[in-house]
Amino acid sequence: MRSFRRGSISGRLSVALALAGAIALGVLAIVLSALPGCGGSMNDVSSQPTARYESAGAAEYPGAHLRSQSIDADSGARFRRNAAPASPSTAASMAPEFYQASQSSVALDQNLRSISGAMPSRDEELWVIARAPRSSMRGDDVPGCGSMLALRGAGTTPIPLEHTSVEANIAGHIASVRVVQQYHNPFSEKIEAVYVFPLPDNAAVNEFVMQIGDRRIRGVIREREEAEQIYEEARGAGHVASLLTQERPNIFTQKVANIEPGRRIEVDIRYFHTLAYDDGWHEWVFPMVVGPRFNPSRSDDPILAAEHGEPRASGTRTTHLAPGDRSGHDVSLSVRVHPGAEIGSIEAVSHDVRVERESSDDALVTLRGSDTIPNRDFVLRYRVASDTTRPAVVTYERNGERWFMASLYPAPMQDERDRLPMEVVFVLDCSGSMEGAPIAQAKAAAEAGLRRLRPSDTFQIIRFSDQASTFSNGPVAATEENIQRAIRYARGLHSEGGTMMTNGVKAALKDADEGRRLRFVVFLTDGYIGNEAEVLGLMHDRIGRTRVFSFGVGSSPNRYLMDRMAKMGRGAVAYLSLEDDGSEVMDSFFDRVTRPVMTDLELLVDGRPMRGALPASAPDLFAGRMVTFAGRIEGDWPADVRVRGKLGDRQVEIPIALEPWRGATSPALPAVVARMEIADLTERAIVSPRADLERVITRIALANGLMSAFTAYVAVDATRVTEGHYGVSVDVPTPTPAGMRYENTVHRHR
Amino acid sequence: MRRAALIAALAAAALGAWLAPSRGEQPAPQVSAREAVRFETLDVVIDVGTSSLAAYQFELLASNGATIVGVEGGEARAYAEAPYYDAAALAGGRIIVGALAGEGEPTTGAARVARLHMRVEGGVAPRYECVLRVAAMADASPIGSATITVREGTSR
Repeated sequence: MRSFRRGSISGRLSVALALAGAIALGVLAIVLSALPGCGGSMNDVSSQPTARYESAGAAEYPGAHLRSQSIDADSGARFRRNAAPASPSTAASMAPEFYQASQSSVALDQNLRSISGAMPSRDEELWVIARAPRSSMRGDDVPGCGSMLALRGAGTTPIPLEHTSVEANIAGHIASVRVVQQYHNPFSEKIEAVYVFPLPDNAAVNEFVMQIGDRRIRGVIREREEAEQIYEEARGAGHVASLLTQERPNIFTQKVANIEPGRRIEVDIRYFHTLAYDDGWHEWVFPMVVGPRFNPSRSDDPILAAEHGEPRASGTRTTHLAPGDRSGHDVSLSVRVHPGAEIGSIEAVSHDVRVERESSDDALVTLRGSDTIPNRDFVLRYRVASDTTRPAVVTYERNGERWFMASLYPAPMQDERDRLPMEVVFVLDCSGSMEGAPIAQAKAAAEAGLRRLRPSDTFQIIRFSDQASTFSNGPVAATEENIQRAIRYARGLHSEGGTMMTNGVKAALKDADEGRRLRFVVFLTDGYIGNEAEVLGLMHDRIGRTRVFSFGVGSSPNRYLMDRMAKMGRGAVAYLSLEDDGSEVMDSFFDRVTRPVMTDLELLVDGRPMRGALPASAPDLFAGRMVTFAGRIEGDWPADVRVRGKLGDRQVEIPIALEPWRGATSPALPAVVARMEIADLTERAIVSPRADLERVITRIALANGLMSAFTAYVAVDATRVTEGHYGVSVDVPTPTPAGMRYENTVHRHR
Repeated sequence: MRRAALIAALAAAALGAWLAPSRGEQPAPQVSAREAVRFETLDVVIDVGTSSLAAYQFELLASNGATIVGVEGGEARAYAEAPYYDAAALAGGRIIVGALAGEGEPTTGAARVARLHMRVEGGVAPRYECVLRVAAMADASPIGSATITVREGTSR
């Protein structure tokens, strides 16, 4: 300070320099505290750049003449080639945000070259997938800046999923299936692909591999929250990562993060499951599309439905292409059938296939190239020429642990007494998703069922959509006059509105009879709801003496719901595809299910009920159907295993020979049995909630490497960090199920 | 001069505090993403000397904030396929990985047979304990002299 007081030049200079430095430091502090992200704070969506329209650069874009159709900043916009080049004056007359984007047209040019290797031709289209300037997305879903561009050939919509290949091997009653999903980024910026897809509801998913080029990274099974956290961290850090979660037993979500432009990532999923059996036919199903679900307003875990291009929102949702839009995503499928017995007939009613008989007990079924659009379930059926009166047993032993599975088919020993009078309630789903072929099938089946009734029977018809209404005030006698009136009533039904199945269930399970008749409720529905647990719980609470039979109608019904309704209602399930004859299916069904062969089934080991046998509550055994028991054996293989039940008034026992030294064995059995255990626990918890359900299921799933509602697979490539922000999340859209009207379902859900 | 420097420092601090957002609006001090969570690789190398490795199994225990998030194969074609792991062991905080030599010649000498992808949390160095349980030749005879080492790698 002495130098300053003296006013010396050197002193004043020192102070001036010090102050200048202080000011510089202060400015630096301000800059560091407000360091911008992509045009602003990551959580401030409003400051993000608006959509860019690259065509404003037409003057710099030789040969690339673009004009816009309607530009919607909240959705994708499509641009077609124009004969006349856009003049700079045209570009200048566009909205400011569009013209502003012309600055980046050179960069766009380079991006396009990197994608296509050449300038766009006149036959190609440019897709701009623009992010909305104001979004309803959560902060952690905020995408990267800018828009994404994709080139496509004429007629297809660019999506991140190119191809799905399915390879199945059926050995005995167990199928092992490998599904490979090939993801690809057709856009000019990094993306995260999000795909909601179906698998069989009894699938034991226990393998998950992510492939990047030639490298294969096996995912690890974790508790769901932990897996989701790992995935989000990896995504945010720029690593390629994938996450598989379960939303329902038959609905899964696959996410793949940081897919760079032009790159491909494959996800390889493997699972085991048991086949269905119906009147001599073994049935293997591969579902291909999740239909749009109806969710009551109070649903706490909905499965939403959206049109392709709608802004993303939180939660699980399926995204659907509009009619006429093709994505280019196709499916290849092959099934090897080796049932261990001579194969009789074999057919795929849903698709065009090629069948090659390798030998009398071995066949290869392949999907033909003309039928690869994934818009309906693939259903394969075959018969075997074996003695189906004996139980079919599979065992497995590993490190001192033992598992078994025994499938019981009824012998032709039906009760010869005449059936008792019945009260039959037909419940028809008349919601919008049933419009067209599905409701026509349902009405035909109901009519066939009505014609099977006898005058000593009574019946009722209930239709439901938003509300439920009935044919009559109560059950009416099945006289010829009433039957004809009912047929006219059923033929006059039409579909519209939502799917408040709870209203249909409540109406159907009102039992006014005094129990003089056997009471059956027959549901005819596609099952496109998001509140399955609520419906099943309601059924359990009101089931009483009623037996429920569920018909899954359409090309891709909700088989999880159909199966569980039948099981909850101690009945049986059948499926009515668009290719089936509703009358034939109902006739066959009626013949069988009105006469249960055995009831009150239980599994005995050495004369005592087996502890831990699955299912915990066995369904009744109907003619033409199968009941499967499974479980883990404690100790040595038991010598005496049998199924006990009632045939009419008589108690009968059927021995089961667990002979692992000479019977069939399968390494898939531990996973299949664990999956049955999880399903059993989940179903029982719907009606008897338990506080430790999540902990118990998680323990079983982790010990067996299984997907479940509480576990998930995650895989991260830690070798490399991709450049730039993690990019935009892009839903993989799917076609609506074949036979479904888009306007009544997906479009209506908006 | 010394006083001038002190005045400059105080002035800078005052200026910065005055012009920067108030403490109430400031976001909480954040550890950088790199320090909080990071992803790195762990290469597993088995040295069998002059023998040829046809099968292996090792057990890894990761601690100090390290979690396994992926299991990849090795550099040799025989071990290129992603190896399997024991799911039951993974539930207990350790991983048991094993593989049989697939296509290609079994490896000799030292070879990376697997690469584990790890999530590491916190500023403390992760700790890995790796034990070779099985190293065998094609005729199933054990390779008693086999050794196993791990090498940490970072993302590039």
